[in-house]
Amino acid sequence: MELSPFLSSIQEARLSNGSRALFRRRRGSPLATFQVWYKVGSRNEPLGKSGLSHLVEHMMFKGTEKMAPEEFSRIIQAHGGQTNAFTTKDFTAYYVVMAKEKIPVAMDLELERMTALRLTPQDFQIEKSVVMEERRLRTETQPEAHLLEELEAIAFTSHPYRWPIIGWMEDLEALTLEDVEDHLRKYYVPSNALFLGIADTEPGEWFELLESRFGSLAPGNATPRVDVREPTQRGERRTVIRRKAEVGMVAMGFHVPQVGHEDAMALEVLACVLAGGKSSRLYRRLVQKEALAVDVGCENPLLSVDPGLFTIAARVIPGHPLERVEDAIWQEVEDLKCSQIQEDVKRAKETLRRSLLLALDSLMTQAMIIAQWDLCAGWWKLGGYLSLMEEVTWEKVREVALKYLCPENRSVGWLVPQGSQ
Amino acid sequence: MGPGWKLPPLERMEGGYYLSIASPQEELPIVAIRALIPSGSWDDPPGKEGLNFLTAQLLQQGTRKRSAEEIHRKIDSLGGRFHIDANFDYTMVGITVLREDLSEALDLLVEILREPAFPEEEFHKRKRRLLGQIASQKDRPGGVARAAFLEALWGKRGYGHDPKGLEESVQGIEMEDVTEHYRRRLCEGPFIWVACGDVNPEKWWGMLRGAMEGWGHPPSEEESHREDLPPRGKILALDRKIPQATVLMGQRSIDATHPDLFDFLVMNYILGGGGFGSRLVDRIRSKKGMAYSAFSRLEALLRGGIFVCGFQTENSNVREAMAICQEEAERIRVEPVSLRELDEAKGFLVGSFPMKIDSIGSFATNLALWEFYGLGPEYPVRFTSSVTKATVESVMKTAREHLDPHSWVSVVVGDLERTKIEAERI
Repeated sequence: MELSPFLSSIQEARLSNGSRALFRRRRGSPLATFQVWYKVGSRNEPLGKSGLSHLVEHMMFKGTEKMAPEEFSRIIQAHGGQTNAFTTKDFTAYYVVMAKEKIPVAMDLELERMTALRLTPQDFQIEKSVVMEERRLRTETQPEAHLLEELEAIAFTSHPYRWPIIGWMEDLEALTLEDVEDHLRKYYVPSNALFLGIADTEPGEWFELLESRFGSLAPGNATPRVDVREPTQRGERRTVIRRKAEVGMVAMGFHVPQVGHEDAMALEVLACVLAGGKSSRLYRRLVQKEALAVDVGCENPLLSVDPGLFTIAARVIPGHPLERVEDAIWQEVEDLKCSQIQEDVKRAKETLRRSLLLALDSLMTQAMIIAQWDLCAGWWKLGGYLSLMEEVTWEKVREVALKYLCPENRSVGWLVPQGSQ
Repeated sequence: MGPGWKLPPLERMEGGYYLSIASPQEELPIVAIRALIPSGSWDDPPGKEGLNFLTAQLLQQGTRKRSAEEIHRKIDSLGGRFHIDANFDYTMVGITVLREDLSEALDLLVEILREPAFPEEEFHKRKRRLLGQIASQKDRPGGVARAAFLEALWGKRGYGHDPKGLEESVQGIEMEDVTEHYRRRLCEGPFIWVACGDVNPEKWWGMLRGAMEGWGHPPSEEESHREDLPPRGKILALDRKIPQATVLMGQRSIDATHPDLFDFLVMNYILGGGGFGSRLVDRIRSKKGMAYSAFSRLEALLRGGIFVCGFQTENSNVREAMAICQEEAERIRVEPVSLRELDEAKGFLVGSFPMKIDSIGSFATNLALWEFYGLGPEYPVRFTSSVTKATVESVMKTAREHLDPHSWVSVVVGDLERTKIEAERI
């Protein structure tokens, strides 16, 4: 099974105002999804305004001239649908999943909030409190999330990827309603949006539904560019978090290029060789053989607008020194650089190929894959993913390990548990 | 039924086990297989809480034919979508593969289930890892609150502990406990097998018949648990110097086959299960900005259920948010819900049902669960008609019969000095 049948069912159109729209026909599916992706995330925030993109995402649910706050969600749910939104470093996405016949309801509501959002000081203060609670929930009461946030903060010195998507608490406190309005004006314009749909519907019908609602909106001005380039790291950086916790963590981050770069696909294979599945090198050693870690993971930021952070993180079984776990991770990385890794690479490529194909089982995963590929590289580039991966040799994987997983490009974080909670 | 939604064909097999075959959408050459065994943490012997979970996880750590590493390599080569879920009532082993790998995947599952070797070394390593996982849960206020809440409702036995077990009980599990538990509970069945997706029924039946030959028996006699009644109206608290408290409040509730289940689901949607369509979210989040998440939920299980309301909020808001949960639970018992609320709840529950079976994997899992909980493959049809029948009166009657906020057990994990609540410290 290859990707071509999946890709050949994706169609692209431009609405009269120039907005881009992608649609995929999913035959036999009673459910459909309609999504709007804006090319704005924490990457686009000015210094001192971290968390602004995410707060704007929350404010989009606060009502319009016709709808009370949160009415958007109530109406979608009453029609048997689900709706939510999320913010990443690069994007903000709003989605609805519901019966295909009900999709026009969702499009009408989306149009309403795109054109008549009502922002009041009272709603703003309430939602800011909600976001501050979300930060406490996801980061401040979670030792591991705290460490990963700090790791990014030391790994990046000038690029906006150094601050968290949810924002620093001090920045959140200082955000104003004017900041939100300004951000909306700059980035929430049709020319900066991608309309995405997946449904068992004729593509022409779908595009007509879109055109009749969104085609006449003014496209808006060009959005401000983010031209920051992260300076080359020239030496190891370290951070140590000491707080009450039961389980320690060791995390490492390395600057790497993203999709489009000649090394990107080899880095994707490298991440899988190291920690993709239970037969990966780090899992075998840290979890299976030496029982040092509860688990170990590795992420390569392939689909990223700017170069991101390749991370390795292990949760340490209580009783083992963090230093020993860090040494074990590093030894494995060093071993890989001088080993014959043909078998590892072959396994990783097969795992990645099957994982991608099996992920297409889900409606939401299909949408995520299409949108992220489109906004980072062009959706059609997904077609080359498997063949480019197939071309990656084991020598190339070793070469990128030598090039990027080196001490001068490394940031290391330790979460040191300070006794039982 | 949701618009355009049709129940796919299902088939059963004679004997002590069942299988179902269904194809929700045939666009992708993917097959999901599930094997469900009726053994869960409910079956953990006293003092050995976590035994079912540990035994289930050890199934993949070596068989008579293959080492743990060889099994893991095989799983990864099939795409890695393999899981063993050991829950309160059951253990489910599942894998989702490309059509071309169906035969190999079934062989692997059968080998894991029929011929585990339980190597001693793997036992010790997996036990250490499980202790690490349990310790890790303590770093999450939600995990700490959940453990204390379950124990308060049920005692340590039955549903009173997380399926992973407790630190002290897992420490005490020996190799012999694992092999004995496997012999008594996990290798007996009866199994529920489900294959879902792009699969040829005749071929699948042939493969499964061969694999199941001479295997699968009625379950052993279930041991009856002596259950202590939960404390009434207690607030239990754990002091943690963290900026936000986690609160769970609730009571024991109805099981998965209770006749009031559907009215309960409608009532719960309106109270706190319906996100922005619910009263708890409206008051605690949308009007007050006190929490990111506020909810109520029913976990309807085999031998009873768990009803829980919960939220996380800055410590000084705890008293007010707890009072809102109590007020709203009381209000839904004594005041009729509005017609708009009723229609919205029914609209969501009925309309969103197809989401449970949108992917081949989730469809396979749900078919196995419907069979196990006695709901049957006709459950989607009954669900829709039963939810549609709910009325303002039936919702209030169900709330009156099954919600008793004055008896709720509450657990607070937070900075108690700042929450200013009166509670029994645990």
